[in-house]
Amino acid sequence: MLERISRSRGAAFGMISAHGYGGQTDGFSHESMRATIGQIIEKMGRAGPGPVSDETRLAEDLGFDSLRLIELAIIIEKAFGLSPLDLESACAVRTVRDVTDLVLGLETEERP
Amino acid sequence: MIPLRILVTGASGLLGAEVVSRLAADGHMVYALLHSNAEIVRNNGRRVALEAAEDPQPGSVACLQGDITQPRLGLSSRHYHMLSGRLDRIVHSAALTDFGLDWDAYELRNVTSTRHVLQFAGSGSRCPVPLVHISTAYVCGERNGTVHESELAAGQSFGTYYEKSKYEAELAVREAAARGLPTAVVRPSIVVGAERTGTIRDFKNMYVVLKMFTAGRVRSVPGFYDAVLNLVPVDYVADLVSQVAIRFADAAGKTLHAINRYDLSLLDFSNVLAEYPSFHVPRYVPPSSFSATQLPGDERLYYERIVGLYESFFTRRASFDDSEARTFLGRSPTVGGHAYLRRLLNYCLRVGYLGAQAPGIDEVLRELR
Repeated sequence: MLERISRSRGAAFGMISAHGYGGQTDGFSHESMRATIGQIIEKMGRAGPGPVSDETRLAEDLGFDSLRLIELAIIIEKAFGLSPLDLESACAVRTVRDVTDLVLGLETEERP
Repeated sequence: MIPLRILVTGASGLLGAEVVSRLAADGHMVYALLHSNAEIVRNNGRRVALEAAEDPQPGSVACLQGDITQPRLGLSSRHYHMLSGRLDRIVHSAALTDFGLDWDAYELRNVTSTRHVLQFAGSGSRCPVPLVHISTAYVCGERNGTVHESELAAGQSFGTYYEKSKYEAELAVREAAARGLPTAVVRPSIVVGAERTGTIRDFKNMYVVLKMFTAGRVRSVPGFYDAVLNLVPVDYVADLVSQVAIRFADAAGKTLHAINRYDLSLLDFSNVLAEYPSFHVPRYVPPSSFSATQLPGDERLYYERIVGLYESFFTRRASFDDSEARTFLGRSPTVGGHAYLRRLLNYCLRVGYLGAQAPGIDEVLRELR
């Protein structure tokens, strides 16, 4: 059973990358990535918080719960064509800045 | 009553926080081992008062920084020596309970860490410190039928790395017990909201699946309508664990199932969810005819990345016997069945966890284009 889950998840991740928005990080400057991450978080947060800043807290200010953080991770992967984010790292972010730092770090790691 | 000096690992966790507050309220001296958190928040949202001093007075809680993935629990040398030979009990509540991570993470934080706690408990200068180990009823893995508290190794397979790691941790506890360490094991089933109010501090695991289902993100899953889940209120589990720590002599050498006497079948879930007009109700299809690849785009993503992690729970038919726990505590949870499930759902609706419409993955990505 465990092996089956592992295999099916691996296959799923491969498929998602292949059909996502892969390779788009090449066309993103760090500034535009920051802006896009901000846009994503604004769209996902509960209505009415206004523009987000680096210091905006995902849970307290925008109402993100653990599920919303997983969704955020998946959207970011697809938006920037990144490899699947580690769930624990994805759920450990507290602020918009944490998300940006995580993504920029991964983007740098994955750049050919 | 003689106040006991009790070390609690995982003191900021959902269960740990409740145990800490109960032990302090009962007049004991509690050392709360914390890793990354600096505060302890109870399930009702109230903060537990922490004493500034490192040595707690009776009825209070002192916080110690540590890391149980490290030998000597990651305690400073001063704290390690301060605790050595002084503790009357250890409650090992820390665990990695999220699903979907690599085995290495579970092995380190659930198995290796338990070994560190066992070494610590056995290394006292006076005598071994009695240990209350928090396990899970799902160490039974994918076994079906009645699971008794004394049973552990039964050739079972496991549906998640979480339960496999807890099984291995429990084996380590049994080995230590065989070498003379006084131990008691408490095995909660799926820990959810409070008995009387349904209040829950963290919406994790089953709550995530409920949100996926009720929001219609995932509409069909492989499973059986007669599969059963056991949901136990967090306050009942905390009552049992605290009492085991306090009245250790009555529980020594035993394993206690902290469970609800009323199992809920997936049909029960469907029937109750159907009472709520705003909720979608999932359809269970035989696993042999289910293929995630046939799900529409967004639903497939949600299934494969989130709901699929819980897949084996939709086919299980284990029922837990709790004779030892009932005899020890003198009661079982006072709520169960449909009424309790409604209470949990109503709380989720009241605080906006369920029922609110939020844009999904595809919708957010479409708007970015």
